[in-house]
Amino acid sequence: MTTARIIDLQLRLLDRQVIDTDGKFVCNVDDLELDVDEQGTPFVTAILVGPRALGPRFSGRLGRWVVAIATRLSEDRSTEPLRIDYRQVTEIGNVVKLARTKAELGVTPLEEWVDSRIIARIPGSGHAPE
Amino acid sequence: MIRHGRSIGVGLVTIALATSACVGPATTIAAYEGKARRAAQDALSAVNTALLGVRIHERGSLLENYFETMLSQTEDDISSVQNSFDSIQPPNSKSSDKLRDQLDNLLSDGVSGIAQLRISARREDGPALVQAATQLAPTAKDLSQFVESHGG
Amino acid sequence: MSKLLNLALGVLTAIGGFVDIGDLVTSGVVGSRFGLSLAWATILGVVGICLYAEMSGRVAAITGRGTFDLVRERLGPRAGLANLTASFFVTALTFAAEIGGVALSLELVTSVNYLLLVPWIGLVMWFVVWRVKFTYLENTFGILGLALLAFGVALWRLHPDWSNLLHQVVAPHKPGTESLQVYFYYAIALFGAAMTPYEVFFFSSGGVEEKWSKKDLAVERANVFVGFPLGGMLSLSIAAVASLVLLPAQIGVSNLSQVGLPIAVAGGKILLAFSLLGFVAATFGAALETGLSCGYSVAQYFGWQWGKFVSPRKAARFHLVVLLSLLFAVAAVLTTIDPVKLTEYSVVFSAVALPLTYFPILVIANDPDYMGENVNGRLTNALATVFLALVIIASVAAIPLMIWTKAGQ
Repeated sequence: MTTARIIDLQLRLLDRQVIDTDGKFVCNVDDLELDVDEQGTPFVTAILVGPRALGPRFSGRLGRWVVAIATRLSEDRSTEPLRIDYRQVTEIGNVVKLARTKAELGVTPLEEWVDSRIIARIPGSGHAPE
Repeated sequence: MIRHGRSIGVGLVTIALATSACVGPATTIAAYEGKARRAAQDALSAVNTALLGVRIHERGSLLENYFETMLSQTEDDISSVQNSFDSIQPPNSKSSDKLRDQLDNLLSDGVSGIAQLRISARREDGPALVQAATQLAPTAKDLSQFVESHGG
Repeated sequence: MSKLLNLALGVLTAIGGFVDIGDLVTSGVVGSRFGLSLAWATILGVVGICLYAEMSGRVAAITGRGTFDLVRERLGPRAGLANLTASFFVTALTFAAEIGGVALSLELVTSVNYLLLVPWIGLVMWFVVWRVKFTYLENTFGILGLALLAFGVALWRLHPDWSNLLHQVVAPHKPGTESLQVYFYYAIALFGAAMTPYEVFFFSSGGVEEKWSKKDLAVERANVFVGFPLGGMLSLSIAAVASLVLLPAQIGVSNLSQVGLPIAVAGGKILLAFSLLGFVAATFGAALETGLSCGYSVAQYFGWQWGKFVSPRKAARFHLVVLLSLLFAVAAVLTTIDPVKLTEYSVVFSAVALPLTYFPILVIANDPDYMGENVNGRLTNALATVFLALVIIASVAAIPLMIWTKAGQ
């Protein structure tokens, strides 16, 4: 059990770039899941990712619209956003570093879909330009 | 509060309708002359471009493709000037009608002159180019005079 | 490659890459109608972009992050989204204009109707984005763009009265035949043409692609402070030759062929051929930059993997955005809208979007949490604030002036 840190969520965590253990970009911290411990102090339990997480942060119609579309297009048809358990976070600095690889985390379904259905079918997509 | 807002709204709509009735498709005589002058200016620009092009092409300074493309782009430009001008409803006055006829003739001369240049250029017909340019030159003068005499 | 060579390459690339279709057309139009009486607007624009490009390059070098990435982080998702929407719209519009520019330039070379060329240009462009390495791309089109120095050569060969030209620049005098509102409309257009938003985020994303770090700061600064002003002088020479050849002949620029006419007058076929190479390279390079910028901006906002330094499969959404933007740009040009008009609109809308783009950069460049000791100095901040004010004025006045003057008539 690591010692807890008190940080300003808005300044240090929210909307930060998240990278995986290989240094690849995963996502942004679109929202946070909080819980309250026995003493009543709130703590972060998970990073929430994707339009279902970001949508609610926009007020009004735009937010609801984004969530509705994302829910329709998602596999599980739920309004629950994708989440990364906070125990995966290894470092919070300029970016938020995680302990797992992108593939293991499974929070980028759109990327995987676009990759497999569109990009992978175009020749030359497998290696970086040299 | 709502009643107040509605009456302002009605007022605005009335003003908008009234002004739109004033600024109808037929413009005032002075405004029409201004539009004519501008059209003449644009046409003059096109004609001068074509004539300058022929001059420097003759002395071997222009690449063939560039010359042909320039002429066809310039032809498009002057055609659209004529189309735009012709589509404007002239005000109900004899002087405006006379203005329209005069400019329209000049524009037609310009369009056909540049078209002739374009055709000769594509055929790489040197003498025909020279002849067409000579025929177009007076149109340039006339357009220039038109611009001058209408407040240019 | 040795440091000096690298430096030279960077500067040359900045010069050659500065001019795009917006500069070509706007400078040509202005020169043919206003002489050099609007040179001050170009100069102001060049100073402005030097300031802000240096800042965004510094941000990239110190933080290793792109602009949109940081905008969302620092200003929040709502402000970031507003920024993204405006920037993306303007950049996509500019992308379409650049593709139109490539097509027009190739039409001048081949005499094939530009619309027929557009799909092929789109195809080649996509291939280059897909397979060509970033630095190779930058360097090739940057160097080839130097062929636009033909304008400088043409200016010299026309034997102008240099003192007269200088006088026009330092003591601007609006021509009597043009109204005041048109004069300021074109001032804003020139300003927008010099300070195009995509330039700034391409510069910073490019810095990340090329893995700049703190030690690259000096090179980055040289690129900006030497390269961009020299590129700006190219813009001025486009206006200058137009003022010397077209203005006295009562020719107002309305198509791209007229922009190159003074070069043919001054230097004949060879110089004209060089300038055509420059037209194609500059517009193609700018099209690549705007296309990639469409991808950079969206991907960086959402935190997606982006960039050409990874394989396309690893940055699938980024490449999809670029591809879709390309399709949009090609479709826009194929609507047969006049590409010159399209360019003028893109330039004016760039001016409108400027405050949204530049303000966040100023904020981030001042934030010690990101920049450490490399925050803006006082002079930089003073200048940047002045320019922010100018940019806001231009942005607010742009659309009303466009309506009032019917886009510059």
